[in-house]
Amino acid sequence: MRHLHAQDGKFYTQAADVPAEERVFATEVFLGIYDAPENWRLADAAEKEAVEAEIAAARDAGPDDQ
Amino acid sequence: MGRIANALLALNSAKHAIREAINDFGGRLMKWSPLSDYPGEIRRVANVTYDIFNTNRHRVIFIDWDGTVLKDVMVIHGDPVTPPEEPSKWSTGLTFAGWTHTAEEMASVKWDMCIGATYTFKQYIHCVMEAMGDHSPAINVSVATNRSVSVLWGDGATDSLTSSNTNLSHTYTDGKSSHVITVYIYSSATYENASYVRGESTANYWPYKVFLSSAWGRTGVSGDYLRGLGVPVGGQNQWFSGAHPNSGRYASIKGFVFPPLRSGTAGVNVTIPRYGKLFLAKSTDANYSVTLQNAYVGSNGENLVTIPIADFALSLSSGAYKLIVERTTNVVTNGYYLSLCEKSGAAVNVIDKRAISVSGTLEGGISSGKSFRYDLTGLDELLATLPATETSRTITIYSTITDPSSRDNLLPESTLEELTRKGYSVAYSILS
Repeated sequence: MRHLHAQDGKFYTQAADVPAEERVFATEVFLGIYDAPENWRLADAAEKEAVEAEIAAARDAGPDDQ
Repeated sequence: MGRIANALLALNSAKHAIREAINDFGGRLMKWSPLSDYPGEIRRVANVTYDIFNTNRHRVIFIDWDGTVLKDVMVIHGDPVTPPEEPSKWSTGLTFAGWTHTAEEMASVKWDMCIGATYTFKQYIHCVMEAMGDHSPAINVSVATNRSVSVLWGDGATDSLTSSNTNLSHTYTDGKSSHVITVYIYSSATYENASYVRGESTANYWPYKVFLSSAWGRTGVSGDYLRGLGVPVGGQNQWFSGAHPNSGRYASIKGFVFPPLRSGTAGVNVTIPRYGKLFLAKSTDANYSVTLQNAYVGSNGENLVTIPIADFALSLSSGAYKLIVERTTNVVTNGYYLSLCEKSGAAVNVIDKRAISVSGTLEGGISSGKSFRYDLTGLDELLATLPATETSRTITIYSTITDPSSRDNLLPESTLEELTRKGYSVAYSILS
């Protein structure tokens, strides 16, 4: 079982460019058989907080009028 | 070429349909694996994200009798918490008597706690006098044995005595011509006869009787030398801010806020507070209730009235709360207890009971004591419900991790292996 474990206060997040609400920050990742380590990258706490703030701001702003 | 184009169009349509299905389901599409990884067929790549709340740290608050926060810290589960320096309340007649929680509880913190300072109960009345002249008047205090007197002379010096009929005097050296003298009369009795407090009885007036005489040996006092604030002037015996039997005045009694309530302990009958009205500032948790008990003590010390729980069925959240007590009148009628009760079906069990004061605020906390573990059997069923086209779902698990170095409360290895073998990647986000 392949295991990624972030150290030094960092987090693993998706390497791909994904929307903020889909981004995951995890201290540990257990890779499925079809997944690969290069699909994940390290992020610091500042990035995590920025994404969370972005999600909170979008939530507070309410739904878009369409 | 037409077949390839059609295949690509079909693939794009399928991807769009899958994304739409996921969105409808409320999930999150984590990632598309490139087709080159799976030549000849499309394999499902799904990610299951677990959010686990780490509750292995607890908040411990130490508060003083009036709700003042003395210390507010976060403590790792199982670690000790050190109390703050013992509060000192000279002028209020309080003697620190320890904390509401035991040494064992503070030696190993298991949940949120709001720990209060307790004091030896001392009801008190203070009177303020303004004395003219460079010599203080002699203060003769005649009080019962369960009472004590402290005097704060106008220049900052203090005096105290516990026996009756003792003269106090003080010589000022600050050159001022008048000084404000504050006298604190304390009672260490468990309760005081209400009729005495109301001044209805002249035989034994509570809480005190203070004789003043001039420093020059005069046994009588006059307005020229002494002026008791807010009390009749003249005559030999001056009643100051007290339950004067004839004047109709009432004692400006101050009770004390007792430490916060906490669950898990037997009720403690402390002392009789004075009058007041209770407002609950916060209530959310239906598992707890607060009662207000009228603990008026008659001349024989009996409890007279208990307000039914239903009348004060106030609920407290499992966390910090604030109770506000306001004094509504100056007439001493009833004292109040505040009981913390736990509802178990129709039964109401008193967990803790505290006297409440006539003024000020009381902050307390109730330990949540919550601990629950993720039921792994639900995971298989959940996974089985995933449609073939769905590639992701976010599942939230709440757990209490008591030992951060132990993985007992996380998903076991066998489950992780099974998930990864099925093609799921599991990401842990342990929140602090």
